[in-house]
Amino acid sequence: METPYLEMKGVRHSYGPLRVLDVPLFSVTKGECLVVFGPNGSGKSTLLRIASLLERPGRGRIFYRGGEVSGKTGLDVRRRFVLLLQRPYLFRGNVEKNVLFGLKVRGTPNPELRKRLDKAARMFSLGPLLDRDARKLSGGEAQRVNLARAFILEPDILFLDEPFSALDAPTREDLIHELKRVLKETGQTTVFVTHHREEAAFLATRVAVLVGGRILQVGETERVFASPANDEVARLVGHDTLLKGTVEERRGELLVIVHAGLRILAAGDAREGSEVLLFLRPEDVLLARRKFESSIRNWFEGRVVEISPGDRLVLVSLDCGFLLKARLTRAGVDELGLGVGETAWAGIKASSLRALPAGAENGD
Amino acid sequence: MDMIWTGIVKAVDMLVSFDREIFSIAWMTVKITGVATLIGLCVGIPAGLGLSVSRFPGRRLIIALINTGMGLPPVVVGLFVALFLWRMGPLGSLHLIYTPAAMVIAQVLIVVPIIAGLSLAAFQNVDPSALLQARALGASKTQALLVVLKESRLPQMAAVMAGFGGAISEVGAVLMVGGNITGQTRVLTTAIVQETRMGRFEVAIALSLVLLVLSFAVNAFLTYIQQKGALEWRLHTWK
Repeated sequence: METPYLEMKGVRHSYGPLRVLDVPLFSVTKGECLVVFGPNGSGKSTLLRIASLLERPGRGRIFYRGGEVSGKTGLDVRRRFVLLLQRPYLFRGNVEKNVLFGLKVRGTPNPELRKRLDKAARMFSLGPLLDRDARKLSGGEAQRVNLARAFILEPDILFLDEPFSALDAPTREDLIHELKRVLKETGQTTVFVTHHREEAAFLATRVAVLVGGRILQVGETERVFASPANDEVARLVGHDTLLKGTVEERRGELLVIVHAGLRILAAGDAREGSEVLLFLRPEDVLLARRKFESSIRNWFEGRVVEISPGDRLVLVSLDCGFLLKARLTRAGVDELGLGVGETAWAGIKASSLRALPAGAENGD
Repeated sequence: MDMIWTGIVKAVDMLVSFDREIFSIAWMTVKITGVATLIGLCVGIPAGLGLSVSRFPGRRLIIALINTGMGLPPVVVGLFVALFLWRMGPLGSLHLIYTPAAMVIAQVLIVVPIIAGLSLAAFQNVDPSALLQARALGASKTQALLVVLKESRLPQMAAVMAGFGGAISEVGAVLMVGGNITGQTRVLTTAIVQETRMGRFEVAIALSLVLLVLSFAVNAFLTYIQQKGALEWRLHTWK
């Protein structure tokens, strides 16, 4: 296996009596976009500051390309990294001066400065901004300057701390697409911290879920989102708790779960007779006026109790003896002619239903 | 009223004819005040920076002492410097009393707390994320501190101006330790006191004009540096 670019071992960090980080192992591999995903206050920023060598951990060791980082090598290694803050601090002066800052402190010779400036300016279309006063930019412009001054350094690892969370939605969407394009073009190794599920899913090649200073799950994005390791991760990655049930039988890859007389087929691994929680993403529910023949194994009949319009999709709540939420397009709701009080059928594939041991509910 | 007017006319006459004595006194003032301000900057700004980025026991006490020092009565400074440099004093063997060096020492003691205090306030007004941002982009500790200095340029220049102003306008201490000796330790302020006492008001007025012009020239230059690239404040309101 390839030596990771960066590896943290046994890192623990506290602020006063408060333990904010406890990470036995954290590693970053070349070329990946690792998204550290977690709620506010979960220690993401601390993890980032420690990984980018801006803060020394209370305990633990950090390795860069297999070599342990020490006080002596600290600055040299740190200069191979860049960390961008959530609220970019732009220095007094114009945009060009800000973009060149990192190269200047590294003593880069002039012709090289020009070459790299051109490239970075093109990458983030900064041409017309270069002479502008950096402190008179809009939020989106400031964040583009912020990205440019990181990419111009061509760092081994780029660390981004919720760079878009302070921006309005359209600007954020533009920038996140711009970032993804640039990441793809440059193959930049990136560690991206966010509490936005969509940002994480969109950018990540790998996701690390951080809650309360501990990494609860790390793995391929698809895998983490489809098969969360426990109920906490499940809720974070967008699964709703459906209901609690008992495993009646294991049938190949699937489990037969009984809940109030209902037999439900779900994916998961649990012993027969054990209690499990069922998780589901509301977008994996199919609504229909009546049951139809298909590969869908679970059908529930219910009464519509609420239809609430969301950002893009509509959330329909169905009372099937338990509360079931389905997310579908406005057109889908219109097509079905659904209204509150009417009955409908919900179809759920067994593979979309995730069964997790109910005992894991209270943490580790 | 008449006396003031004739005084001003005579004073302008002396200035345009480049009165030797007046200009030698002015030159001595520039030298002493300039050296004292420079030393004050070299001590005061690092002190302000150090106090703003570090935490140690007794730090608040030092800050309180500096703030007290900003309002230190110059005659008290003069008294203590004189006592130390007096022929019989602890540092009497250095033979510094009634020399320009003694005046510089007194002015430095007056100027350092002013510069350090205002400089500390200037540093503390910089967003702490400036330091983190600089380091995050690869700045070493020293480079990051330089960034903070640059970011606080505007109020730092105010500290320089206040320090220079305090030094050039000071009279009590320099009189006590310098002695106002013609051609050696006479500066504009002490000369003005002397000429006024002797009733030579036109000379006193001429010296005052030089002092004002000098002060204005230096501050105009410092203000130019300070205001370059300052953000504009706009208040668009109804009334």
